[in-house]
Formats: sequence, structure tokens, C-alpha cells
Amino acid sequence: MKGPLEKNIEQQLAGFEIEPSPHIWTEVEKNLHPHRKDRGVFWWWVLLLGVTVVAVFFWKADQLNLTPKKDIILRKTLPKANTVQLMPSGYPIKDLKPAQIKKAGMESILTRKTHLIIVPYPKEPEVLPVDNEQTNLLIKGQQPLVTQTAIQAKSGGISDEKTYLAVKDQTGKNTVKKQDSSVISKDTILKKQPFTLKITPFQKSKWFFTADAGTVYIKGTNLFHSSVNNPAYTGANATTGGAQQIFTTSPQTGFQLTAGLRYHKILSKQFSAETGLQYHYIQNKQYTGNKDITGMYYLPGNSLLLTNHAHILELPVFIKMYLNPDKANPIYLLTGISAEWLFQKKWLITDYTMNNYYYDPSSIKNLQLKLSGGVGIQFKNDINAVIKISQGISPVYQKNNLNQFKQEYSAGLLIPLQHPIHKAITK
Amino acid sequence: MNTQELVKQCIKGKKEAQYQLYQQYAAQMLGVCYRYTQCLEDAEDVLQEGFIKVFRNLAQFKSEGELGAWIRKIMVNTAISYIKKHNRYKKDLQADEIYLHPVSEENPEIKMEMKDLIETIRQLPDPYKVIFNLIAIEGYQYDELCDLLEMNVNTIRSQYSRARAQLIQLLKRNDTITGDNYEGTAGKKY
Repeated sequence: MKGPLEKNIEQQLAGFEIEPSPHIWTEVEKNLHPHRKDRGVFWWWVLLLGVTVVAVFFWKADQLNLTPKKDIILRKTLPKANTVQLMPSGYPIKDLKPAQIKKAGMESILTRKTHLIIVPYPKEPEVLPVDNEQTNLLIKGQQPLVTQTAIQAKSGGISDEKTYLAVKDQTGKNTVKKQDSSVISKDTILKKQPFTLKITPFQKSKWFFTADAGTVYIKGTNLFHSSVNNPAYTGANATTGGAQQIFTTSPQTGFQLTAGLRYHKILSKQFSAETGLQYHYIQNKQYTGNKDITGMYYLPGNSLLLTNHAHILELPVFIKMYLNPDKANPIYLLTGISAEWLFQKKWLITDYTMNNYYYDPSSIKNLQLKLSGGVGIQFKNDINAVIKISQGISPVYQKNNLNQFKQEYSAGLLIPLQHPIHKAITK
Repeated sequence: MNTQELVKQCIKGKKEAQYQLYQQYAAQMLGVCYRYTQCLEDAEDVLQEGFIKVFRNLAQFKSEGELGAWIRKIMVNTAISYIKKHNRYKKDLQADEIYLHPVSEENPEIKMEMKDLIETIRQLPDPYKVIFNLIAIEGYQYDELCDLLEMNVNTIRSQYSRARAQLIQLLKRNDTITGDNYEGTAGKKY
């Protein structure tokens, strides 16, 4: 292609040099070796503070006396979780501790914050008036035998062939009823033999397996910076006189998966906390043009579809606020903060200034923080369903002073690893 | 320190090595950037951005290649991206039609100082200047530039011919051309 004119010019220009200003190197060096220490220290302090607050909260939860006495009885004397107490026949109720009782074949009669005290069937029971305030079943000559909470009363109380509920019938007479509401005579009751119950304590904390899935976006905005300070999006820059601008080839919607373990602790009637460790995977597709002449940069365009992905370890801390804790299936609001460590990633950096894309793993921040909020429901069997939105508050990467943040939308389940229904009461 | 060792040290992030590499190529590369831009300040912006790219991607440099040529490619690419991005260049790119010149196949001999020749080339409108630099000086083929310039081969070829013709006119105006056509080149398209 080169003719004599071109060769002539090339020869004449050989060795043409201009000495650059000294500040150019200073700027290059500043860009290559940014001083990130100050910002790093800040985020570590935030993380440390968060962990400390949660730790203190867990540690002091019992002493904060956040729980209304009406619902949690004798909370300070709760036996340790998972222990089994064998209660002898005729055991006085006053000596019983709040406990969670499950019997094989019975539907769960307890909810998250209810406590049931049950005693063996007495040899000669006598039904006494039901105390409407306390909804206690009293038997003459004994201490109170069955204590019900309001929630249990609503769900029909406790009753099976060996456990009876004293209620007032339509005439105002006290009767003993079975679960199916059929009235049992005193004689029938007397025929029953004493029995023993295994009582498992009410669990204030529990482990869950969690899994969720949803969508993910990497955006130049976050909750705290609502406008995009990017010249490519605005005014005359929106068109380029034929050259395709990078914003016309924005990333496709990505997906995310999460799986891990959560530790759940009840703090009070209305609040509980969760933490754990989760594996998190995010991926999206992105259209670009071909590589440029250097082979390092992708031009704007739609000729290639590249995949970005990242593997993440996540340490979340959530606080749950129950809107209707007395219901059988309470609904709650969820808020929390997560620290994320991106241990493997391949993500295209978008350079709006140079109007191209490139891979630069060193530009992706390994440690990130995100805020989450959502709503969930806790079913009777302790399975939770949650819808959640998360917003990164530290950038995934920064290019030309434009921070790129992660936004996630997900739905998932929490499945208890210690399911109460498996704890059987044996005779 | 030889080039290979210098590159290794730069990849490790050693500031001294990076500065040495910068010193070795900065002046030469600023000369390249200057040919594409409208002023020295713009050329220095391109140089700065180009060197950041160089250091960030040095691991991708294949040691069997020539480092200077590799850096030069990055500078040229950075210059083109810079031109595409900035409004004052875009204006010229969009006003392409204004600068139509008849195709010239002359091959005059140029007798002028290097700096004057550079300034004459820089007088070309931006689209012509870019294409002329890429083809006549950097040695790119027409089809290599299609993706980069987002033009088809015919457009690039015609724009190059017009750029070449306008440059000859400028050179003639400055009375720096001796001779007319080189023998054997008449009718050949560049």
C-alpha cells in the first residue's frame, strides 16, 4: 500500500519525538498505584462495628428483657436446646419450664414464640373452671396442669387421647374436650393410665439451609447516587456521528444463585436475627463489538456475546421484624448487611471515557458490602419464604470516577435443619 | 535491564521499572499521539491514557513481539478512541462531506523540515488525518481498519485518496514539493 510519497513521509518522520510534560508520569503513576488505604480502613471499621453490634445483641439478648412476659414464661430458666426431659406422672406444673412439645402424629401445636407446659395425666383429675385470662386448665388438688398461651387457645388448644383441654361449653358448664371437640366424661378420663411425656425445650435458636435465585445488574447508580455522571448518556454525547457508543451495548440481565447456612436467633417477640455463610454466584451476558487492533479491548457493538461471572462468599447479618408475631404464619420485614468476598471473577470493565470494554481482574474489588431488604413469611413448619432486594454500597469497580454497583433481586427459601416435627413425645 | 526483564518487573508493579519503560518510550509515543490530535494538550491526554492501558495490559504482551510496536498500537487505538469521544473532533468527523477533494495519484518528493511536515499533516481535517496517519505512516491495510473506524473498505479507500490529495495541495501551497510523479506509479491507487 505504501507508495513513494508514503515512504518519503515515513522516512522524514522517523525519530520524531516530543518530550512530554513531567506531570504526565505523575498522573500515570497515581492511576497505577492509587492510595486506597484510607477507604479500605473505613470499610473494615464498618464491618467490625457491624459484627460487634450483632455479637453484643446476641450476647445480651436475654438480659435486654425485650420479650413480653405474657408470651414467654420463665425465659431465664429455659433449658438448653435439644435436651430431652422425662417428666414423671403427676409432675407439678409449677416446676415445669417452658418447653416445646411435639408428639408423633400430632400436628405442631406450637408456633415460634409459644410455650406449652404439659404434665402427665393425673390419676384422679377434677376439672375446675377455666381461667379465661390465663386460659389455664386447672385440676383440683394439683398445681395447674396445662398452661396455654393465647396462640394455642386460638389454634384449638392441646388435646389428644391423653391430654385434655378444659373449656366452658355453651351452657357455661366446664367440660373436658378432646381435640375433635367431643366431650369426654370424667369416667373416661379416670380410665386412662398415667403416662410420661418427653419434653423437648423450646428452641430460641436454630440453623437453616438457605437457597435463593434471581436477577443481577451492574449499574452506574446506587441508592446514594441516583444520577449517572456519565457524559456518554447525556446531551450531544448521546450520538457520535456514526461511531457506536458504549451505552447502546449495555449488559443483559444476569442471574444469581445463593446457597448456604443461616443461624437464626430469636431476640424478642417481634425481632430475631440471622447470620451465616453463603456461596453466591452471579453471571450476565454482554454484547460487544470485535477486539480492536491491540487485541486487548472490545469495541462497542453487538457482534460478540461475552459472559461475565463471579464466585462470591457472603457473610450476611439480618434483622427480622415480625409484623404479626401472634399469627400461625407470621410475616416479617427483613433488613441486613452483607460482606462479600469475590474469590474468582471475570468481568468486563466498561470504560466510558475510552468507549470500549476490557478485562482487568485487578480493577474488581475483592471485598464488597451490600444492603438488603425484603419481606418474608414463616410457615408453621418453620420453613421461610423470602423476597429480597440487595444494593451494593461499595462499588464492584470504578472507572473514570464512575462507580459501578451490584443490584440483586431474589426469591428464596429457608429450610430448618432441626425440624421440630421430628421431635417425638414418647410414652 | 533488558526489555524482557523490564516487562517482568513492570508486571510485578515495580514503580522503578514502570518509570524506566515510560522514559524509554514516552517522547516517541507523544510524537505519534501528536499526529492524531489537534493540540499538544490532547496528545498528552492520549499519552497518559495510553500508558495506563499499556501497564495494565502488559501481561498480554507477547515477548517475541517488539515492545515499541505494541505500545504504538495501543497509543494509536487510544488516540482514535479519544477522537471518537470528544465533541470538537466529532464535529469534524460529521462534517466529512465538506472536505471532498479530487483523488490524486501524484507522488511528489517532499523537501521540508520534519516538524513542518508534521504540522502540515496535522492541518488535514480529522477524518483525513486519522486515515492518512493509519495507512501512510502506521502501515495498516484498508480492511484492518473497518472495525476500528466503523467504515467499509470503499469508504476508507476513497477517504484516504482524498486525504492524500489534500495533503499534496497543502504541501504545494507551502512550496515544499519538488518533482511530480515517481516513475511507474501513475494510475496506482493508495
